[in-house]
Amino acid sequence: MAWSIGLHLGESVMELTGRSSQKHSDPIAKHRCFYPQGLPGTALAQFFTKHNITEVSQFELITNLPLKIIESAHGSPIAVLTTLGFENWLEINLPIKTPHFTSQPEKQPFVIDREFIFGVNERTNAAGHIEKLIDDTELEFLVSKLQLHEIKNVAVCFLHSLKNIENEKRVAQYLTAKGFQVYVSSQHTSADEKDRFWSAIANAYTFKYYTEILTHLMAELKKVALPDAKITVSTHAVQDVIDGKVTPLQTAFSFSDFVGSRFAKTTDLLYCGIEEMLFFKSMGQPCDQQPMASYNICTSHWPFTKMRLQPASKLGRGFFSELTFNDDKVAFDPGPMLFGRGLNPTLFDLLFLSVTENNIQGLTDKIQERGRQRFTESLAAYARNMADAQNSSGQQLADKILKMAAAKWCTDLKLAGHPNNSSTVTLCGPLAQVVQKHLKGHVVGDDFFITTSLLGASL
Amino acid sequence: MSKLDCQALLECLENIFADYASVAMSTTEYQTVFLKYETLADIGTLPQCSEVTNKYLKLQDGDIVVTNDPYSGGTLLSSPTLIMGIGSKVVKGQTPAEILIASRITLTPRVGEFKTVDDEGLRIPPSPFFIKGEKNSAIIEALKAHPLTQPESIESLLKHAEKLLALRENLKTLMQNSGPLDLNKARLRMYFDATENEFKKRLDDLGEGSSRSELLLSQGQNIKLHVDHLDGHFHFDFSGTSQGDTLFMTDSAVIGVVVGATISLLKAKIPINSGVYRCFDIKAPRGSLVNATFPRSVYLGHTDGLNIFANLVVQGLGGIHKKNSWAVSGPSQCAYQLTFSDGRRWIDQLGSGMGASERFTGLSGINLWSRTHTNCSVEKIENLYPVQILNSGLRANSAGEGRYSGGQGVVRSIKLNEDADLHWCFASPPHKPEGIHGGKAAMGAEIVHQNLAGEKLELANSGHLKIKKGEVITVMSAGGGGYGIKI
Repeated sequence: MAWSIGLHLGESVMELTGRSSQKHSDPIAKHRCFYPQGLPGTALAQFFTKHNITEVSQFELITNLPLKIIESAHGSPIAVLTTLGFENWLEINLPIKTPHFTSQPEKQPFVIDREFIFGVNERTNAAGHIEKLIDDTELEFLVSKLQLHEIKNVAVCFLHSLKNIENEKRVAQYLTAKGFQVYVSSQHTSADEKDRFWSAIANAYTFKYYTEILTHLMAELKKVALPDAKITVSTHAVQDVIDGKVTPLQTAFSFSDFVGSRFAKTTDLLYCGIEEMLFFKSMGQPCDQQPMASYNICTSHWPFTKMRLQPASKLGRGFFSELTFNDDKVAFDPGPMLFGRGLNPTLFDLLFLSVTENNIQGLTDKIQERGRQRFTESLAAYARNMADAQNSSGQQLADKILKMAAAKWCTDLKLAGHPNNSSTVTLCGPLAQVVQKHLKGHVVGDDFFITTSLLGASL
Repeated sequence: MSKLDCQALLECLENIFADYASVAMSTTEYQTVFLKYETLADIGTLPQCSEVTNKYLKLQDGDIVVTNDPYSGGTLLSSPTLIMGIGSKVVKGQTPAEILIASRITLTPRVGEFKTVDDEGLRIPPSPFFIKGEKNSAIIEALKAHPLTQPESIESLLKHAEKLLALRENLKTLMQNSGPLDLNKARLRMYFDATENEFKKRLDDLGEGSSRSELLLSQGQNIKLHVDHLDGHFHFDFSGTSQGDTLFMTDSAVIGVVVGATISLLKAKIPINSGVYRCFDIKAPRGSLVNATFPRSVYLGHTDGLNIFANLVVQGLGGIHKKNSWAVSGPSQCAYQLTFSDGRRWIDQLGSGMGASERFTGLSGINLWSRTHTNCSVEKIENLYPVQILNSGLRANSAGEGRYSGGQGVVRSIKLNEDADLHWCFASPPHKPEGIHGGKAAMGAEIVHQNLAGEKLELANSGHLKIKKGEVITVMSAGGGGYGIKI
């Protein structure tokens, strides 16, 4: 019997649902797990084995993995070819990350090695007239340099390429013929060249790691997929992404597009995921740009706002108090303290410290008694240190900090256009029930709401 | 009030003002509760704006006053401030303000050499913009009708005033008794005490003692500074500073520089309120370039001058504790303006190199003392103005070498496609950004004009020049000095 499968693939967490026939009344198999770095296929194979799935007719993937690869700077080395004289242009425009004045300010991280940014003697003017055409001998020299450094992915970023694509096209054709994976900035629409340049760079930067993961998934899928099986990510065939026919950014918003377009049309929606919390303003229309930490990415997608406080946000020292939120996040390996091996207290630990009634598959079973005990002891120690005139227990401290978290979420909702009352927001996702206790609002669906809906969409 | 309550209050204030770039919240007893800054000047001038305005205009609930007058607590004329009163207690039919919110916006500046503040543009002394939540049409129309007003400026101010009025309602709810923002006197006193205590705990990093430093700006123009730090209290004495010739700052801007540059040496982010201000005493002789008197122009002092003064303050504190010494950062933002025959104006500025310090290589191409991010696009500029940008990147070899090298400056060349008037104004001390402890000096700022024959001429620090179509202007910002001897 052929199955339809839905997969939400995050950076560390994957959620799978499956239905064994075309009938909506049939039971749905659900599975959530933290998958080993870069190996989601293994977890997929286990799901197939557990549910005895031998034939798959439909497989629909939603993911934001390319965005996560950029955020965590896990992409592969790339080369950037840009108009001569503007090799440092992107770097000097990176904003200062540190909001306060400091003797050691930091700029937003620059993911490209300066050594691999090459100025090309070309120029198109503001009217779109080519003042300097590309010279093939210059390209020959560049190719030898790229080959020497074993660079395979190249972003081509020329000024005014939207007005006249000729120079970018010539370079792309030349390099593609030599076996390079090439992304041109003219593929993206923005009046600001930096956004187009960053978008081409994001594609080149994420391609290798993203397609490796998709290839790993496909290897398992092919074992059970029917010859005419529909295997898609967003509206594209997964194989086309692997083959480079579809760019990573074209599928980078497949998760948020699915959630936003299906569930946030008439209601403001806060998706409370394990890895991230995203807010979707109702009546949103697809937008063309997504702000990242230091630049915009130009791809049409459903707008959303990422909450500043995420479940993995670390707790650390504030100006007054020894325990408040800071800007860093922990990775899910080793994860929050409640998982047993984590060393840093997180918002996740606070949210789940006293939660026993919510059974979230693949999550609550990871919480270890040893971790809970260690976090409780840490919290009590913090409370003793901070007691001042008022006696305070660990639980009281946790409650106060969670109140501060809720206030911060409310601010983010307000800044994103939600009315000044968080009780009117709709919550969904695996952590929705837990977040609702602090933020109010009303919860829709169970903890597999999105992935199950994905399955419904594909049937 | 426990430490956690103080933290909660701070975070509550940060949430409230999350979408404001430059804002201060004060009581009508002129205690600063919260301050968020974009520039060094904001740190000293925003509270001053509130104080001067309320002293003379006695704000009521819903009143909003506009000013850009540097001699009333403002800074650049292109950065007007709106001061709003919030009150809830009715006294004899009036609702006097209990809280003052000063919020600043940044508009397009004018670049040039100005003799008086009135040459810089339209100076607006504190004027009632909204009265009890309603627009004051007489003032608004008068501002609109003024020949030096840009129409979009008034629209921006009106939009910002509406945003403040919406904030007022929210704040009133939060400020009710036992609300998260209950700012009664006892709570505020505890909050300021806690801030002062925590601030002082972190001052160990700065060491105690005193130092003297001096900076020669030009012939007859110098700044003298004596810094004294003892028991968590700072005394900055600018006695002996000259009257000045081109560079002037108001006393409130100097407060901002002193406080901002001092806290920059601490590892933690310091919340700025009266608990921090009371740790500083500043002596700035009236009439000197650090306490300018009307009608001196403060344009250069409140742009490049802030960077120069901050470098000096850092140098003074470095004299107390070597660990804090820091090579000189490129002082000028290299602002220039091109005006075309149809009246279009393009204003540009460059980041510079930061000075190196112990274990820290200076960053390149940044404006160290500003958090205003100007999102510059080559294509947008070339589409809007008859120019072609020939290059824009880091200026090679501009950084001072050392064990830790300074940051590099920026170079930008512009070819004109039409005739234009160029105005520029760089504050540049006579010597290059110096290195310390054996580190080398960086290259200073320069501006070069290349005529149609290809001849290059280095221009003075400030001036005005008619540029012909096809000619090229190259602007180069300074690098940062190096730290230590390069091995």
